[in-house]
Amino acid sequence: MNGWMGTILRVDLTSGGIVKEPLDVEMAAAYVGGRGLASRILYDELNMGCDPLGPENMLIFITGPLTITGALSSGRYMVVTKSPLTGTVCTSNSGGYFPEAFKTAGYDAIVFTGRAERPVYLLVQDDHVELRDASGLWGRDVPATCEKVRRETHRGVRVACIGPAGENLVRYAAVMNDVNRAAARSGVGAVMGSKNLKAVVVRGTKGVRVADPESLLKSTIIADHIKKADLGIAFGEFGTPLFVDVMNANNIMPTQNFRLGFFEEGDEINGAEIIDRTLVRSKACYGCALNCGRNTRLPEDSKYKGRGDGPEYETCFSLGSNICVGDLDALTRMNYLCNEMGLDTMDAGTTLGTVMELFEMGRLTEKEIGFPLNWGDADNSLKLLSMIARLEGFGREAAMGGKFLADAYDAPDVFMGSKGQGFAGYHPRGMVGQGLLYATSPEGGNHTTGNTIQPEINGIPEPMDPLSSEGKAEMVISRQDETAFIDSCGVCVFPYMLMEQGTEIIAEFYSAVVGVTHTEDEVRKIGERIFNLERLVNHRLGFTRKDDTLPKRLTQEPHSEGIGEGNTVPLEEMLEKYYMLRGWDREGVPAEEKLKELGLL
Amino acid sequence: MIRVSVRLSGLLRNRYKAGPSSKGEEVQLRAGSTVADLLIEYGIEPEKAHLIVVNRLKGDLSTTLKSGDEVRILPLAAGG
Repeated sequence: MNGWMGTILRVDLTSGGIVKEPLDVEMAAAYVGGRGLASRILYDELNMGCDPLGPENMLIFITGPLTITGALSSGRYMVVTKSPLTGTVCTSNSGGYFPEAFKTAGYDAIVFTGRAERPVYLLVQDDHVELRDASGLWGRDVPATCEKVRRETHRGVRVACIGPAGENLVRYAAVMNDVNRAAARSGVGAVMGSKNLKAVVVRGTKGVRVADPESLLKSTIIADHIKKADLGIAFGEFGTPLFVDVMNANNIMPTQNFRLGFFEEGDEINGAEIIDRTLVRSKACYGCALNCGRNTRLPEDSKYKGRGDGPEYETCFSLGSNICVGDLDALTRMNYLCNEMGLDTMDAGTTLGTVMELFEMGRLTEKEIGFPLNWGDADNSLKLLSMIARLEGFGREAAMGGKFLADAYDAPDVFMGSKGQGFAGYHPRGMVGQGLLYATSPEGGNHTTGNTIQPEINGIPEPMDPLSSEGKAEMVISRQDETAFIDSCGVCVFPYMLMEQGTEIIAEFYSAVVGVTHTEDEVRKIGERIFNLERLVNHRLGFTRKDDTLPKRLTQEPHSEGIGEGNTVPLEEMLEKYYMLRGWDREGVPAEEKLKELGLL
Repeated sequence: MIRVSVRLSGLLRNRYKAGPSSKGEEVQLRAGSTVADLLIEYGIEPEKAHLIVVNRLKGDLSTTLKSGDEVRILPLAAGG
């Protein structure tokens, strides 16, 4: 096969049974890989009523046909499952070097079912696959786990694992790979923990076949262009924290649990400050020209200690502006702690934001939390994060996430998220299309299913008013469908979503790799099929229009001082149009005609 | 003369008179100066100034500046 490795590994953790199964070629052509193919597997096989943290849930590690082919930024994989945070399908994405080892071992996907009686890890070295005892790893943090596994197996292995947060079923625990990279969102790490699966350890030596290597060489030309363009240079130099300035200047940097769009101390936690204070070097995932990763170290004069990766922009928001922490060292230390414990920094931050607002309101008191937790209190935030990962004291409740807390303390409007997952760092009152995106994302408050920054803020391909609903339904649909295809290919969305011709280029790469010509429109159609499939899975899981919501803070409270002051998100109006254009009924369920058109019926 | 506070973002920070590690600086301009004049002062080509924000509101090259204004100049960047 070209692009795909042709084999899916099935691991039943209850029985210990391991089966290698040929990839269904027709299925791969229709759903590509990544979140597309994995969602199809869930659609066909998952008992929808299952407890996300029970043995019946399925946990899928999956690459795509373009992963490590030489296509631009192709070192990605996804973890797909039924989320314990949202109850929806979730598709968490990560890069690094684990995807390379995983795919060259000869597999497109690993599908885990059941629950091991005792902690285990899966070791995959090309054709050799075995489950090994992980009792000596259980309880260890992420760096220690990776190190011990390497010593037990081979220095060249790549490790995806959970930390104490995943073991303790924290609802927003991450799957960490290559120590510092994270398939962070939606609690995929908790599902891994519920299965007593500590790690997936891979080493591969096989190659990937590509139908038309010559056409794929265009990738190097584009990479060269990117490296020479201002935006590409800035990406490498500042990493994603470059966006702190952009979001702040546009009044869309969510601050104090989304009350504000501007963080006064933004310049203390931006990309420039990281360069001047903590950056050791920038780093890239496999096969990427962007170099947006940050390897950092806290300086000797800091009260905080440590070395690791980060923060990314999203963490500058979630553990910075969102909780009013304007101290880069403290923010970085919180980021390291989340990485070590295997916690999603984003929901960690939106959960802390919820707790701080509940504390301010008096719904949560010092007695319940164990200490005061005021806006900007970095040290007590660090303390609470550690308690969350270990389920100590109030950490046990906070481990359930912001929505749980807001509901439990009778202030549901305080949680800033959708479908139970906290929002990313883009304030929808200042870019309303992002609000529609959050409301309709298959997994709630997620920015990776079709970010709207390029059209709404940068005006690419054409300027559009970020404050108006005009054209937003069409734009969001198009971004969602394109992203669904890109994710399913096993590449990073960054370069493709940044380039004006991104969809045309991914269509060319896909055609070159699999050997079947696909136009831009055809890959969009595949993306639409995948997005609709995820909607169908969610519908089976009980999700409808009633769940496509945003908190009142976004739809009723006027935006704070600055650009867009006074604006709110006209969600209902956009949603009406969105459903109509999607070919869904008024309850947000894909109509029969649409399903037939997409080959889903 | 007027004095305005200037913040240059991303790659534009190399244009700070005080060096790239500056977190913003004050600059003196002739009364009646516009953002375009400010860009000339810093040697920034207008097409590199993708976003101009004056006192937390959107501005453009023709925005007239007055003493005490806070100006942010940003190059093109995208979300992450």
